[in-house]
Amino acid sequence: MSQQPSGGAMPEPSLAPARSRRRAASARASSATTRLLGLVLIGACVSVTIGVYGRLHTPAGVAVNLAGFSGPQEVKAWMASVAALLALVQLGSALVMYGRIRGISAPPWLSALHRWSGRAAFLVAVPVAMQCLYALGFQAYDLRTLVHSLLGCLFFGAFTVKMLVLTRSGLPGWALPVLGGTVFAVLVAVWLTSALWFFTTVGVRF
Amino acid sequence: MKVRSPIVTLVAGATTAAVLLVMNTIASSDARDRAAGGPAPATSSAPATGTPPATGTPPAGPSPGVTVTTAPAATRPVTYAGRLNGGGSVAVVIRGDKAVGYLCDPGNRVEAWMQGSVQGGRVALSGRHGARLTGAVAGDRLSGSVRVEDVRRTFSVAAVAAPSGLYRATATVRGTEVIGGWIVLDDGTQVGLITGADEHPEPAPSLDTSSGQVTVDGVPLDAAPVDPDTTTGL
Repeated sequence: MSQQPSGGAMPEPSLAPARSRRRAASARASSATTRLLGLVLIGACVSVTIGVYGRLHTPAGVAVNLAGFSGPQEVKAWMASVAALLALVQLGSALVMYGRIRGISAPPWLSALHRWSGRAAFLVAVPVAMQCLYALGFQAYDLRTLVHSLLGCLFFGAFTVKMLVLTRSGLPGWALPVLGGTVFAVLVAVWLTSALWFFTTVGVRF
Repeated sequence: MKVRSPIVTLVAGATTAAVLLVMNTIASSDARDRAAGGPAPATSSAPATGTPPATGTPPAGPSPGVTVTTAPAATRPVTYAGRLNGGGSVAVVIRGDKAVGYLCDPGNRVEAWMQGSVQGGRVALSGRHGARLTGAVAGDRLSGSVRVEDVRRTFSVAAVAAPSGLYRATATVRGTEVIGGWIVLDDGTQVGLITGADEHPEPAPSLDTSSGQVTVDGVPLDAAPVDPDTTTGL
């Protein structure tokens, strides 16, 4: 803001509306961030609950199996891979929706594709996570299992926050892309520390 | 997009998780019942499969789902030990209706201590990290499968006599609690791992089976044959 001329040629009252607009804008921004933090707290509770359950529950070594697969590990690895594939669809559609891919403009069905592929990825991931938690629990005996267990819990918390953010207005504009990116990155990391490890250690098989 | 639909997605996921939790709970209690030899004794007499357990005494009364411990005071423990199909070794010590098992694969640094029950010749053991062993005794052989983490191996091993068997030592070495397990096979080969607080098993030094002595980091330890009635801290 430029210096005020000392002669009083520019009266204070005409600057007041601009200043109060800026103040109001920054107040909105900070309350938006606060609102976002509230939702992040809910997501954190989800993550912590899953982690605590995984740690306290005695691993049963047994969980519901799916016909046609060699065993529960194969079921999980393939279902997780389906979820990861849908996550790629999520990333692609999000990039186009935000106009990040030059030369491609979002067709009208793209947001529907994004929503439905996202729902599908989530609903496919839930049984995999349930199986893992019930049969194996939260494991930390090596880096891979520690990262997988931590990020697995984080995924569901982050996804919860992303869903909640969609239902509210008055949140910072960067919230949705940041959360979407987080959910994507975490799911990919969870897949790398489990399904990819399984396929490279035991082999790609049904 | 309706404002509600993300909430619907979350609720759908939570519902799926809850349904699976219930199904899994039912599935694992079924598996436990099967391993224990069948439903409540009120409806059936002793299971007809396999050889009778070491005690051979009938249950004291129809208490549903409960493993009745009769008085097996005079029973001697029987140890089955041998190699797993696919690598590693296993040993299971059975005394009465209790059993302790140990999987030891020094090559892959995998070990698992398990304990559980024996009913009607069927053995069901479980341990940490989801370790599970199921098997059946037939004559002087124990056959079944064991699963630890992502490893599953089958086995058919024979009963062994001292000094072969399963040994365990627990001690505090330089301020850390260490647990060592040794399977001494019937040809005298020893397979052993020592695990400290960091839970990374290391190949164990040789055990002197006549004295039970072994030296870890310069500290002598006493390893004793595992007895399901007295071994604790699994």
